[in-house]
Parts: sequence; structure tokens; C-alpha cells
Amino acid sequence: MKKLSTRIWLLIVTFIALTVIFMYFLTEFLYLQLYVQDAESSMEEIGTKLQTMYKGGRVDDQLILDIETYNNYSNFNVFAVRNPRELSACVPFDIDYDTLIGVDERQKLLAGEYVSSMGYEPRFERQVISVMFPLVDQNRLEGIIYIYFPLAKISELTNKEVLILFFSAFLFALVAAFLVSKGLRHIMRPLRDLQQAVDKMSAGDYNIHVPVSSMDEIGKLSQAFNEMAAAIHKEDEAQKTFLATVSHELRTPISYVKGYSEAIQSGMIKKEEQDETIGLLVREANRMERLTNELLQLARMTNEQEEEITVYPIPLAETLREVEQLLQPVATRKAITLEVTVDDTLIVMADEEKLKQITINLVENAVNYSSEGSRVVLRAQQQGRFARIIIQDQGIGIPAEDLPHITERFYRVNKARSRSDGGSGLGLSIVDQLVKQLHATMTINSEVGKGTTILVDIPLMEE
Amino acid sequence: MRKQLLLLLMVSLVLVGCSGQKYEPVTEKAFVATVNILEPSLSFFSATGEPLTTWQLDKAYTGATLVGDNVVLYGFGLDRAVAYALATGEKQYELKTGTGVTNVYYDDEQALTYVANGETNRIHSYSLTGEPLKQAQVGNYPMSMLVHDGELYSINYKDTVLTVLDAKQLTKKRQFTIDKSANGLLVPHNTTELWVGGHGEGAKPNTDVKRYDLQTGELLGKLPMPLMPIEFTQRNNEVYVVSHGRNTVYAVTTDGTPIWKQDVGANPFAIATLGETIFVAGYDDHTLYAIEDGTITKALDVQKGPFKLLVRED
Repeated sequence: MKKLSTRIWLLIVTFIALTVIFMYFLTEFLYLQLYVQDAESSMEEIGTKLQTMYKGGRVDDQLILDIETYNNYSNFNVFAVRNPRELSACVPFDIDYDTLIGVDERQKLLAGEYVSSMGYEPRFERQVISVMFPLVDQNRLEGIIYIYFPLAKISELTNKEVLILFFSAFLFALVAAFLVSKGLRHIMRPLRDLQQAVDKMSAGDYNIHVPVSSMDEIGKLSQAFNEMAAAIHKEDEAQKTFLATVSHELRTPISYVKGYSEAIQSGMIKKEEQDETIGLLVREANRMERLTNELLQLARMTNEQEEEITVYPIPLAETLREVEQLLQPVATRKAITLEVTVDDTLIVMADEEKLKQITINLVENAVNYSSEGSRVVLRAQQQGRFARIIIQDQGIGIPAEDLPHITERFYRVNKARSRSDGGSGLGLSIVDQLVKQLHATMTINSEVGKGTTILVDIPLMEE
Repeated sequence: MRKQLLLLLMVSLVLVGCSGQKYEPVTEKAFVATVNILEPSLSFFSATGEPLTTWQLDKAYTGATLVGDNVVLYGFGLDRAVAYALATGEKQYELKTGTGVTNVYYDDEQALTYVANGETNRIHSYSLTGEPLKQAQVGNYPMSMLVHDGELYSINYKDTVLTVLDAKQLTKKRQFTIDKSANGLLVPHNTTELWVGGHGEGAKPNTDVKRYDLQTGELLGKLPMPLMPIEFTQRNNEVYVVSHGRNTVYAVTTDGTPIWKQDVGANPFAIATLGETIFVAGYDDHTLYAIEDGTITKALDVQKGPFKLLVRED
């Protein structure tokens, strides 16, 4: 399998060779066409003029001499012939002699026409262009004026000239081949760079950048490759961070469970403190369970994203009331007032489970991050073609710089990862995914110290 | 009834097949005709130059000869010569000559037709009904023939010998040296000379008529002539020579004294006399000229390429 550049090179070199050969024949052809035509018309002119020297009657010695004199100063070879034998006068008889003109030519000349021909003339032992002019008087072909010019074919050039010709053609082809090869290498360099980059990438190195030197097809390909490499790199980084985070998140409870259970096993913890320790173990185990559940859910949702979720009409008020019922005890435990105001007429297009989970997560978050004795409001109202669910708290709020990242996995405003929040850092990420699945939108407004307001707009059923 | 009809049809077919080509009869006793070879035809004229008829020939005939009241048509590329009766224009008999016929000569005294063949280099004699009689091997390319005093003189056109045969038996009697490309034979009245014309060899045109002794073949002398004297005819004591290289008719006495000369036609090959008139055919200008007392009196258009003349006297 030859390289692409080699094949293109071969193609171009073949074309060059063909062109050289073609030019050779074209030159020969043009030479014959133009040169011969030119010579012929010059001869015609001269012949017609010389013809006027003939005044009729016999072709006398003076005319032969005059034409011979002219011949001495002419570019063409000119001579007059009056020998009837040369003029095929004896032709009805079988003649064993090679005459200067043939029978057909004689007929034409007799008619007063001039005859031109091109080809090998045995008498001159070479290719000639010749034109014959009749000297006719009373139907008698008294003589002819014969003008000829040797036809030097290109192939008849002397050895030296032919050598120079072929050498130049060869040299030209060689230089052309070299230049084409150089040019191809230049054109092909970005492709080669690209290929090397792909090789590196398949070896696992995603942090690569191919230089883009042109805006042609290859340049665009390189650019697209760079973008793809960057995207893959980013994804790879995210994957790595995610893995690191997950293992970190899991390691903390595991080390707790390991440490405390070993402590109990070795009897380092007193009997009366054991209940409390076991409570701690259960809490950490729950945390792990929740974390793994949420991870599972996220993974599932990533798969689900591929397929369309079936939505159906749901009375929003009913769902929200169920959520209220579910979370009322949690709120009460923190002495938080959960205020629910719902427009009963709102029917949304959604999946009930997912809708419920969105609301639960958001309200739970609001409760978790609110101080005791504060108020959390859950409201739903019509907003154009959407039903707007508003979850408002008076909690600690989110700093403005964290807001854009709040829905990223494991992103925490509180970087210390204090477990006092109890969150895994996946909650909002899950909500965000669910919102997208239901073709809804979520807006988070927050101010540190004052509280957070989350707006979720869910499509209403079309009337 | 049907059988009879079929028979009739077959008979008529055979008859038609036998008769073949039929030409317009030539009833005039005295006539002159040109044998035109570029587009084979015969152009007949009366002694006064009135056009009589034209025979358009259907084959590539290259010559014709009068054999009594028949005209024998022959061609170099044709394998048989055909005799047509002038009086009826109908075919009389065939001569199975084979290809290569260069000339057909008829001698009234012998009542024989001689056929020269340039391929086999033989001369054949035929009876007046077309029966082949004798044959003889001669030199290279026999062409011009003349019977005189029981002897057949034959020029070998591509050879340097003239062959003399017995006119009846075609046995070789003698031969003597002549020029190559010789053409035209004549024994002037009341002489023992044989005059031979010719084109000349190679590029060099011939410019004289050679006089040989009939018996010994000795070169007696040369008569300077215009370029290429190739045909003769004679009347009384005058010999007329046509020179095709100079388009000239030259009149001399039998002893070679010039009488007059006249430019005539373009590339004339054939000359003949009919009564007081000399006829010359111009090959290149397709014209038959009548000369009386050394001046051209008539120019008659003929078909292309008149190469030979046929003359029948009263």
C-alpha cells in the first residue's frame, strides 16, 4: 500500500510525462501545419511570378538560364524543366523511367493548375515540399517550373540537437518531479501532523494541539480535531475529578465504619459508649447507601437521556401537597414553617415520579440550609404557558461566584466538606438532570445571608 | 405451352449472351477513327472530317486495330481481344490472347492478325476467325510491328534488339541492335531501308530517326528530327513523322530530305493518311487534326486521350 502522497506524486509525474510527449507531437504537427503552409504559400507566390517570364511557345534556353539564375539567389530550389520525358509525356507507353511528375499531376498542369505535394521525393532523396507550375501554350505542356524546399523533420535533426532536446525534456521532467514532491510534502505536512496527533491520542494523551496553518480542508480538519481533542480532554479531566471525588466521598464513611468497628472489636470503646458508636456507624452506612443510590440514579439518568421520557398531564397541586406531607415532619423537627400555596387549576405535562423528586430535593435542600425557626415557602402559579414552582427559603444563601457551578456533581459551596450539611453534593445535579428531562427550566436566585429562591418552570398541558 | 415459353426464353437469353455489346454501325467506306484510351472510346469521322459516330467502349481497352472490315479491340489488362464488324457494330469473334497485349497488327497480304504480348514476350498469329496459329518468343516487351515482304519486323520496346520473323511461320530469321524505347517502324516506298523512331532512353529524349538496312540491320544513318519521333506514315514518295516531344509533323522524302514541318496538337502520338489528308491526333488536347499540303485544315474534337488512328480507304 503506497502512501497517498506517493500516489499523487506518481499521478502528477505521469501527467507531466504525458504532457511532454503530447507537446512533442503537437510541435511536430504545428510545425508541419504552419511551416509547411507558409513555405507553400511563399512558393506559390514565387512560382506565379516566375510563370510570367514565360511568353508562350517553346521553353527556350534563356528562360531555363534565367530561372537558374533566380535559383542562385532564392531560399527555395527552383528549376525549369522542358524535357518531355520528365513531364510524363510518354506515359501511354510503358516507361521504365522515374519521371519528375506523374500522370495525374500532368493532367492538372495541362489544365493550367499548379500542383503542390509533400513527401519523399526519390530524386532529392529526402522529404520535400514541392510546387509545380505549368508552362502551357495551346494545350501543350511545354515545361514546368519546379520549386521545392527540403522538409527537415524534427526527427531529422542532427544527433547533437536531438540529444539536447531529449536532455532538456528529461531535465524538465526531473525538476518538475522534484518540485512536485517538495510541494506535496508541504501540502501533506498538516495531514502528517494530524496523523501523529491521532497516534498520540490513541496512546491516551489527550492534551494535544495541532497547529492550524491554513484555512483549507486540512486546516479545517485540524481545527475540528483540536476542538474534539479539547472536548475529550475536558471530559477526561471531569471523569478523573469525578472518580477522585467519588472515592474520596466513599472513603470518609468507610474509614469511619472501619475505625469504629475495629475499635468496638478490640474493646477500646466502653460498653456504655457502644450504642452511640453504633448509631454513628449506622449514620455513616446510611450516608454511603444514599451516596451510592444517588450515583446509581445519576448513571441511570445519563442512560435515560438517550431516550425520550413520556410525559402526561398531572394536577400539580396534588403532587405538591404530597411533598408537603412528606417533608412536613422534617421541617417541624427543625421548627421551620413550611408554607404551601398552590393554584389548584394547574395541570402540567410531566412524569409524576420525577416531578415529585425535583420538588422533594429542592424543598429538602431549603429546609436543610435554613436556620431553625425560619420559613420555607413552596408556591405554584401560572406563568404564561408554564407552571412556576417557587421554593423560597431564608437560609444561608449561595455566594454569587458559586451559583454557575451549583448544579455540577459534587460541587459544594462549603468546600470544607463538613458533613454537618449532610449533603452528598449530588442533589442539585440530579435535579438539574430531571428538569432537563421534563423540558422544564430552573432558575436559582440567591443572596448570602438572606436566602435562596428557586424557580422551576414546567410546561402546562396545552388546552 | 409453359415449356415452350421457357425454351424460347432460354434461346433468346443465349442469343443475347452471344451478341453481347452492340455498337452503332459504320457504313461509310472511307473513315478515320481515333482510339481514345483515357476514357476508352472510338471516334469515327468521314474522310472530310464529318463526325460519324462514337463507340463508347465498356472495357479498359488500350488499343484497336482494323482487321479487314472488323475492328479488333484489345487491352493490356484484358485476357481477350474482341473483333466487331464495322458494318453491323456486332461482335464477330474473340482472340484468346491472355493479358499483356501491347499491340495488335494486321497484314492484309498474309491475312493474319499478329498480337504482341509484353508479359510473355511473345508474338502470336491468329486467323481471320480468331483461331490461334503460330507463336514465337521475341525480345523484352514486343510492341511495334510491321510486315514487309513476307517478314515480320518487331521492336522490343524494353530491349535493344529488333526481331525479324517469318510472317507466316513466325520462325525467327534474324535480329539486329536498336535503341531502347524505340517505337514506330516504316519501310519507305522503293527503298530497302527500315526506319525506326523512339522516345529515347531514361531522361534523354531521342531526337532522330534511325535508318537500318532491311537485310543486314546495319545502321545506315540518322535523320535529325524534332524531339521524340515515334510514328510514321507515307504517301507516294513522302514520309510523315510525328514527334510527340515537340508536337511536330515532319515531312521528308524517302531519302531523308526535309520537305516541310508543321506544329500540331499537344503531345501527338498517332499519324495516318487518308487520301490526300494527313491526320494527327493530339493526346493532351483531345483533338484530331487534318493536314493538307503542310497546313492544318481541320481540328476535330474527340474523346479523351486519342492514342491511335484507324483508317479505312475507299
